Amino acid sequence: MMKLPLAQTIVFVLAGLLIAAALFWVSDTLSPVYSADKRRLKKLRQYANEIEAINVGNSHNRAVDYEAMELRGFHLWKPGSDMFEVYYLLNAVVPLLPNLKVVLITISPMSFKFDNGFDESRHGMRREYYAITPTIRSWRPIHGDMKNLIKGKLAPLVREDCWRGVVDSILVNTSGDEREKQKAAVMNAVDEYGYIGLHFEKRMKRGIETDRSQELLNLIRKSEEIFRGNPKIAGEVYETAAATVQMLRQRDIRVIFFSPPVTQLANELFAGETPTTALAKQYIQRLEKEFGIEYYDFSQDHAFAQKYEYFFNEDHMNKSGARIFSRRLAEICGFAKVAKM
Amino acid sequence: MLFTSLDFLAFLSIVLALYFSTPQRFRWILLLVASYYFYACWKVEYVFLLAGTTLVDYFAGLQMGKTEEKSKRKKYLLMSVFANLGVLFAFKYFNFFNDSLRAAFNAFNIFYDVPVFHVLMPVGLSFYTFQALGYSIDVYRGKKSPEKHLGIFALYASFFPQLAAGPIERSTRLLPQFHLEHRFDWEEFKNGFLLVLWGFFKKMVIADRLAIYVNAVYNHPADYHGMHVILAVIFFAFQIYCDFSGYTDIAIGIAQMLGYKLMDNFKRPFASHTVREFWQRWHISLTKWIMDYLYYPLALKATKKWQGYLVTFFVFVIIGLWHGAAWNFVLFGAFVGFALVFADITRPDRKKMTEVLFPQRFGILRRLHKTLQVAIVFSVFMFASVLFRSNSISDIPVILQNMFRQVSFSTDAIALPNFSLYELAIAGLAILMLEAVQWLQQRRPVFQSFAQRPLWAQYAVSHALLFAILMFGEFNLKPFIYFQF
Repeated sequence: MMKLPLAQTIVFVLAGLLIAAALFWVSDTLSPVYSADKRRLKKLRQYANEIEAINVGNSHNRAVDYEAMELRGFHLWKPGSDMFEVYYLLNAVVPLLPNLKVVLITISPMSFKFDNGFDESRHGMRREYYAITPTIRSWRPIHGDMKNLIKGKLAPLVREDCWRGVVDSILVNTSGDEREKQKAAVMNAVDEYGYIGLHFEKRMKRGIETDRSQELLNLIRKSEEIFRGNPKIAGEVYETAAATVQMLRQRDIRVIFFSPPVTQLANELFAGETPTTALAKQYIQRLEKEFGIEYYDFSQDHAFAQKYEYFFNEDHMNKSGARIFSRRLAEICGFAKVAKM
Repeated sequence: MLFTSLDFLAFLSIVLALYFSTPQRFRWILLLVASYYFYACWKVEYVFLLAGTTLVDYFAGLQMGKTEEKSKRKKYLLMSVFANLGVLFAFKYFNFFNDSLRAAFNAFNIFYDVPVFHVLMPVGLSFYTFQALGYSIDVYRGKKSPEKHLGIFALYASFFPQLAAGPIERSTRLLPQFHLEHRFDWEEFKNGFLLVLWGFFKKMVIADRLAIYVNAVYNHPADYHGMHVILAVIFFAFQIYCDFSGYTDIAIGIAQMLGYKLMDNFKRPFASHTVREFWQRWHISLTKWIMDYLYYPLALKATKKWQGYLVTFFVFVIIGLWHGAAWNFVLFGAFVGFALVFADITRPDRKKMTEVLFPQRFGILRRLHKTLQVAIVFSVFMFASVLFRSNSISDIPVILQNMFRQVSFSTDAIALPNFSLYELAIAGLAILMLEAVQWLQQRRPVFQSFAQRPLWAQYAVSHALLFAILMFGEFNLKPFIYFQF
């Protein structure tokens, strides 16, 4: 009696999967979602055998310039990333890189209080990670968050633009303003080091706040909100960082945590939020003590903090700043040796 | 747990799988546990309220069944009425009347210090209290013998597909179904599945997409004029219809998959030719409930015509208040009541005028007349919907005035920053599809005979709907509008 329903259900599901696959292909071919990140992952696979280093974490990674480090590295960071996403991404992509020797991970004062899965407003970032990470290992959700995993994996089908990109690419070649399109193309460009967009040349004016100050304050407040909502968050981030270290060490990969330079203005902002900075320091010290991690803190380095010409805003280095800092980091870490290994 | 959430899909899959693998005699337990779990997902405390009123109604029903004495039966009926309406008043209306009294007293500089009752209204409260009340009144009137099985009665009061927003079922229809054996019926299952998909389409592709436009305009009415406001008013009519009827389709479809039949709640209301007909096609379960338990008992006592009109007006004010504890809902009900009374009073004159302007012997004029009637009824509903949707009474004149200010048809005057012409086109096509399907359904039972169609057609239709939802649906979860009632 149940044979007919079962057979029909199986055919229905199979037909559905076939249609879905066709739609995925159409979507990815004509107007891929998260195209820059997908291109980045494609390049990662392309250069997989050459890549010696990758850097993950948040936008403070703008301070990394592999050319200056004389290292064949690849940028895999995304703005606003948290430690759970760092682990998720590394777990999925590290097995693809046979010659990977170094992983650089940024730490900011809010790192131990941040979880993009905490509230709706940041779920999009989490979903982006799920959407762009291509391997089988990427099907393991962060904190059992199946909802966003499914949404992320279905992103090419359940498109936020309601398939407008695809329709436009079929019907017209000139959707939107041409200049805007060119600008978007530049921003979406991925260089051979996996850097999306361009290293900013723009220089910050000495001691004059930009809009970033308010953004930073909002981020600090958000991290406090997350901490209040889940007081165990710092412990969870710590466990994840520890798991990351162990996972990478099992593969003989060197893990380097670092806090790149930020301006005096940013330091003053963070100093006003002592518990946040203190908590980050406390957990970093615990990681150093229990796992002997390498951690380099340049956040208050006077060689950089007062030199606003190295930054394009309060906590992000511009191209020249990144070049100088990266040489310094390479020197301290002895990367010349890595390249020869 | 919203019907459109992944949580609910997982919950439903588990319930369906367990239901058909559980022996018939235990199925009520499974459904009861599932229904209470479903309700507890909103707030666990609500469950005690539901269980409390269920126990009172069960006890009152049993006691009424034990005696033929009218006065005793009445005592137990009143007990049930007070319990249900008491809960409804406390959670839904207390603050409204309290605030209104405070405003009135303050206007006369009289000190008024009754505190505000800080509590969130339980989801679907108006629906399940009316369903439970209907049972008590049916038992009192002798239309229904009291339900002796507490578990089955609790299931009737909490059946999860219709718990949050109806249809408000009658005890005579639904209760007996819980005593029947429901074998797995593949055809019914497929028909139900299609209805569920159709409900999702209405909710996620039409209602939730239109909500983006509607919310933008209604939340800042002073900032918009002309076509923006006109479109928002039209869109809200479709939004609320698709939101509510979408929920109903999902509820009826799920019940059908489980083997139960729930009553229809909508019959293409936007094709109505009179306001009266509209209310016979819109939220049918509520209108019928009000007619049976409130309107007819009052109307039978009305000996004069004006008393009949007063009853109609009063009943619709109650319907307005049922929807929400705010003055705009009172206005909404009063306006509909007035429209019905006005239509009734002017019917002879309108009939004469129609005979002159649209002689029935000319087919084209007859059709034109019918089209005009539909347009007028829709316009009346749109006006009522402005009263219904406005965030406050003071917004109503702003919206109505701005509709006719600086009307232009340029792209900027139609699209919104967060709602492009492309999205307007999707919404427009989806509405066209809705109308086409409803038109078809009126001529032949599309959803009831779906499983009898060729297999390829079943697959094609189901997949088309499924992928339309995935591709063009709005996935930022928005609660169903009627959940708040």
